[in-house]
Amino acid sequence: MALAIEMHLPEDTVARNQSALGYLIERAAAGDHAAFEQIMIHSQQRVMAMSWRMLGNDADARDASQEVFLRVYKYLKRYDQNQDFFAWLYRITVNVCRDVLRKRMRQADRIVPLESDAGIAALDVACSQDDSEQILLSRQRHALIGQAIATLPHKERASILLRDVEGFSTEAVAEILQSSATTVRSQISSARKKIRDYCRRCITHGGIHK
Amino acid sequence: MNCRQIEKYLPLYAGHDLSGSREQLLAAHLQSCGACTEALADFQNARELMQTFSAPSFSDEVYAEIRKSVWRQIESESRPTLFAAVAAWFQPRLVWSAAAALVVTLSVVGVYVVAQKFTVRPKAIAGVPQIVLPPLNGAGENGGSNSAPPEPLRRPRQADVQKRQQRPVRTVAPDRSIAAGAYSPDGQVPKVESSSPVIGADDVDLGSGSLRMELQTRDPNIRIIWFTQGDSKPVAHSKGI
Repeated sequence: MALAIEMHLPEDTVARNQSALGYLIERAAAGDHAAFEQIMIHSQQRVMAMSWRMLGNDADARDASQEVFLRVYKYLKRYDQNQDFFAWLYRITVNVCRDVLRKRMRQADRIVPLESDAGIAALDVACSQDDSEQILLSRQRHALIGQAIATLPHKERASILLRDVEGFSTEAVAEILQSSATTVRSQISSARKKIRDYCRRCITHGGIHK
Repeated sequence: MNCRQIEKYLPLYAGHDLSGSREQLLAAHLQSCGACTEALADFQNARELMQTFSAPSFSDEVYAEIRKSVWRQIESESRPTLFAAVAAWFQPRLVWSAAAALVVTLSVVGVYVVAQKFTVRPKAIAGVPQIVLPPLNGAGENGGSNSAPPEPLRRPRQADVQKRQQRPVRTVAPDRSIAAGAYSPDGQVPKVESSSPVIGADDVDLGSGSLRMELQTRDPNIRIIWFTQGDSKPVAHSKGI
């Protein structure tokens, strides 16, 4: 397959200029492969990062990103130009991650049970490495929050990641998840409580301090 | 608001997700409550941790590999397999065939139902005796071929056939509207009245050179018999009453 990439728009230009993005989307929907390649290039980091946060490992994040772009290619003609493209992209990403999680649940529970001793032991191993104290602490926090997020149900996980990590407003999160703002607030509140409780428990057991 | 009510809203307050009036209420409470302020600090720390939860940076090769895989899959999906092509060829026809069969079936059923609804059936009128016809060709009421035909109906027919075979051949006599005279050897010549016209001949006998003819008039008591011998004249006999 020959992929002739003729358009090289800077990433900032695409992010800021919705009309340029709209033009790319129109051309991609009309079957222009180069335009779709550009769309992938300018959205791959967001999709990959969100998938990784939702799923917690590289392999699943890659598979999910691939599936997201396939769905984007398939349903690009249905995309309404009046709505935010990245909100639409995040919706697809969240749905794909939900499917991956379900598949994973069916096959085998590959997530490390966070409330078990294994999760705490992983933190202890990390503590014993020969890094500087600051880097070590940063890694521990990162692992801790990742495990705390992994304990959340899918909807709470998506809500808290979109709100606190991706920085969307509550209303925008509600639009992405096709839910009401009240429901999203409830999910965010519940997720924050669970994360706080998980962190508190781990810090008590593992001795992680901020 | 007491501390229990405040605690419920702290997770949202930590992320500035509350409405303006409620946020002011919580802010006023937090200024005077150390326990709630401490609880809020926990939520804010957890939220800060969340915001530092960044995904690892992937190399360009990883992204290029993902894009390649996407194109590969798009290409393979756009190329239909043999089974898909055959299925695509059959599927619309099957649907149309099924639809046509359904339409025909419904039409036939509909016509039958309508015909049944509007058909007028004859009803037996009370008080009028029904005519029972004898079975044809000797068949019984049950229609069985082995059942014997009723005897009273069969006998008269056989007798009629025998009578017909024994009865001489009749010929139509010429029209004699005018009263005819007859010759009698004994000189008695009876007159045939015009009110009793001849209706037919009973017998024609062609002997050797002689002819005998009997004519039956409408009156059963009068019969005209002709004898012809050579040049003889016709003789008329009249039966006595």
